[in-house]
Amino acid sequence: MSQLTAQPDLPSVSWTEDQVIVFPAGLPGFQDSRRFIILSLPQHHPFHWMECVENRALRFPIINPMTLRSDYNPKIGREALQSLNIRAPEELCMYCIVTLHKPLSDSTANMMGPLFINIRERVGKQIIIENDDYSPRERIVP
Amino acid sequence: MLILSRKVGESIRINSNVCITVMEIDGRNIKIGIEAPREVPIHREEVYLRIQEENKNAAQGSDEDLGGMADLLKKK
Repeated sequence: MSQLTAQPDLPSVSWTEDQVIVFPAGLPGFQDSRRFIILSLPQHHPFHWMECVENRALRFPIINPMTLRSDYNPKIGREALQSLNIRAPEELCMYCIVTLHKPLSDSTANMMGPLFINIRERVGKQIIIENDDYSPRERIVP
Repeated sequence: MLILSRKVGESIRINSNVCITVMEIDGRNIKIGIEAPREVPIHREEVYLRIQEENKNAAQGSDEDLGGMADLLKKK
């Protein structure tokens, strides 16, 4: 077993199994990372961390894209929703991964590859939008 | 890399459940039809690579910067 990298700026967070969201296919670039928890801290609101419980050094800032663009409406295939077993709209939770840049005002959200999560089954998938409606680098501050 | 020659209308089968067919050729453009199970994600390579690259960039963020970003958004 490899030693986990200590993250001095992150307090060690305890979590329970029922908080874990499984991404069966991992994420592009991180295919072996499948189990994540979402950490919501007041000082980060409306952002959250999505942290891998198999490798605590791996984490992504995420945000509900509707917070940034209330008209966000990615066209995704029915197959994608079926593969997540979404039965009702309220079971679906959507996030975009955020890339923090320097200066921070240049930071972007990946609206071309949103995360879709079935909160009932706690299973998720990064869905790639195969058209040019959204970019993987949409500016957060216009 | 395995290289196979195919004519329009001919196919290649991968495993027992993926079938790729050359549909149409128009100069340098080739239309390809893909039959695969629903759970098999299919993407144009350059699109997949963009998402992969952006995921790797995003994994670099720090707690301090996320707090700063949250403050920036609250000011808007």
